[in-house]
Amino acid sequence: MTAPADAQLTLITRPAVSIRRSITRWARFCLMIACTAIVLAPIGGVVVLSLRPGPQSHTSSSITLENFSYVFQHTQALRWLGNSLAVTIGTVIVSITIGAPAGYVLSRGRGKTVTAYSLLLFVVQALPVITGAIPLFILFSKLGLIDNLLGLGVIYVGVSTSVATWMMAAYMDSIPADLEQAAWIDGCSTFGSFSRIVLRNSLPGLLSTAIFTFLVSWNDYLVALIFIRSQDRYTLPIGLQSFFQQHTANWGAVMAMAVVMLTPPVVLFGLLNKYFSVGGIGGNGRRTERSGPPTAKRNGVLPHRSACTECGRQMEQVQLSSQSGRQRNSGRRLGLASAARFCGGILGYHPHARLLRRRCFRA
Amino acid sequence: MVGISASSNQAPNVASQETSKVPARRVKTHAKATRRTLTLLVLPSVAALLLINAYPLIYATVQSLHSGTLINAGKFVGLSNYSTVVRDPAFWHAVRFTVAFTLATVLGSWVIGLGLALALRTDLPGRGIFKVLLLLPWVVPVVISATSWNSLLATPQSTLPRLLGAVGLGHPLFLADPTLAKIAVGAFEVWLNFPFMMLMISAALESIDKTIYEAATVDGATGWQEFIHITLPLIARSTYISWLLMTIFVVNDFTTIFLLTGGGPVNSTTTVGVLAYRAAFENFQVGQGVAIAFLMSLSLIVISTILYRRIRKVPIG
Repeated sequence: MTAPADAQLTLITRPAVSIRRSITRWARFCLMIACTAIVLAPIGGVVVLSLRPGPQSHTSSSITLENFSYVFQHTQALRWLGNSLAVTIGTVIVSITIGAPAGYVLSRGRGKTVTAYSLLLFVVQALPVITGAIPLFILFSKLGLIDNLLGLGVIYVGVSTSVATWMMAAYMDSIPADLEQAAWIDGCSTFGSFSRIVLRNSLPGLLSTAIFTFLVSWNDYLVALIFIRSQDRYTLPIGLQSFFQQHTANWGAVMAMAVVMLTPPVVLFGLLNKYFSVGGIGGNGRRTERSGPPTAKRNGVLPHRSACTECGRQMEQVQLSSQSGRQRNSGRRLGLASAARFCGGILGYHPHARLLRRRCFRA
Repeated sequence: MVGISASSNQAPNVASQETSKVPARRVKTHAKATRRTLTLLVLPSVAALLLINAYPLIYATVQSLHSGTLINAGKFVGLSNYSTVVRDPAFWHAVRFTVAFTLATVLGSWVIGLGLALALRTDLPGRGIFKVLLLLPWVVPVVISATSWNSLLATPQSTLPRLLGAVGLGHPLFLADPTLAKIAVGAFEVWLNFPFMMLMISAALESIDKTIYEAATVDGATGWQEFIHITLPLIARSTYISWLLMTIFVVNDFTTIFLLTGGGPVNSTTTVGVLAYRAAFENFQVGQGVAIAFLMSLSLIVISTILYRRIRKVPIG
């Protein structure tokens, strides 16, 4: 790195190295294709089988859409699709309406109440659905919410609220407090700064939360299995499963229904995957271009080092107040911040976790 | 600047010094208004948590002490539900399987996820596409994956038994033989969860400073040494967190096993979650079902607390 002799050495060996490199690079590429093919085989199988003519087929061609027309004409798949869509969209809207403000409080608030609240969120998240399902079944049977799509939606909201709150909080941590402070100086209220500044700037966070809650309720099998009884009100997962149990031999039709169920999440994921992250884990749109934590080079400021107030360990501040124009995108270390939050609830936050985000006032 | 510390990374006393410049009364009013707004903002979420999550929990506690069914509450029986469960050999069988299953699938997913994350970090052509494609098992509804795995494994005419038969390994019935069923269920769970590990590790790898590797290369470190002495220690924290999260996922996961094997053959793949469901909704022993679920949650909380304490000691990589 430092000596000129080093540079010379690189210059001499370069051609040989680069040829070998490109060979290993393509070898890795082929290996990766093989891995991906193995991983995707079960999903590919679904699509292939859905296009194969079934036992009731009249065509001689090897690819047909007959299975799909059979499924739509002879089963209630369309109705189940409608049920699934209704419950899922309702759940997404309600849990974001609940989760976004709560996430704001978790992100900006401080104090014992907030810690207790995050502990509650953690405990709720860690408990298996089955523990809650039994009492809710008894309660809902009194309220007439068994075998009712509304009841199903209520449970999905309960299941996804805690994670939705976390995800929103993790995202809002990445929105600099400076923006809000400027608004407060201009006389903006707390709610005003939440709705006009934070919420308006957290579209990627809202989208990834929406995808997550969508997947939770779209893919759920257990809750629907317990709470839905009549065929009219089936959602696609239990519809598919009951159809599968009745028509084990008719793989074409079963897989056609599976493809119907598969399409919305895959399309959604394909369109929005750059925003996708769970609990803030994973990538978000701009990460690939500007990977890694903000460094001195990237932001034009020196990394801030400070000691952890509990263990005294020197740590590099991850969230820097960026002085360049890209405040919104700098230092979005959502992964650790939210994962720390995820686990942090057990014993209250460790100050390390606190260093990972910006808080601006006490609550 | 009314009652607001400039930034959270400063110690609280700095904040109070700053606020002392502003008249005390205004600070108080503003803080009050802020607190009220925050309370209002968090209220719907708290209400939802209490109604849909906390209430059933309390009810379930009461239920686990009664001999009720799904319809009537039954008599108070104290801890006898718990003692029945603990004395049942089927419960301990399920516990042993759950522990082995969780350890194997968490480690398996981690190894595969780590390998793929490392591969995706290199200058691979088309890594973006690979990243999206490899996440698909996680996005596809479990019901569909289970159906699909069934079509690949279940009968002698299925794809994988036929392939193995062609190689000369007979036509193993994956879901009918206890040992093979355990392996199949484990493979299924790993297949479902390695994308999560890949995401977690990719995020951690991205945050490692590249200059460390440059320095190591200058010092003559081999690729393996770099992996052992730089990569692994620096992703340790994320690794522990991902292990913790996935342990919670796997132990709570009922659907996967229920859909693929239903807990069979001969209860060989019955996890604690499946046992709880069976007790409550198939045998109508609600008290016992809740007792099983509670014992499971309790051990989960203990395990996550222990793991969390470990995580606290690991520096952020």
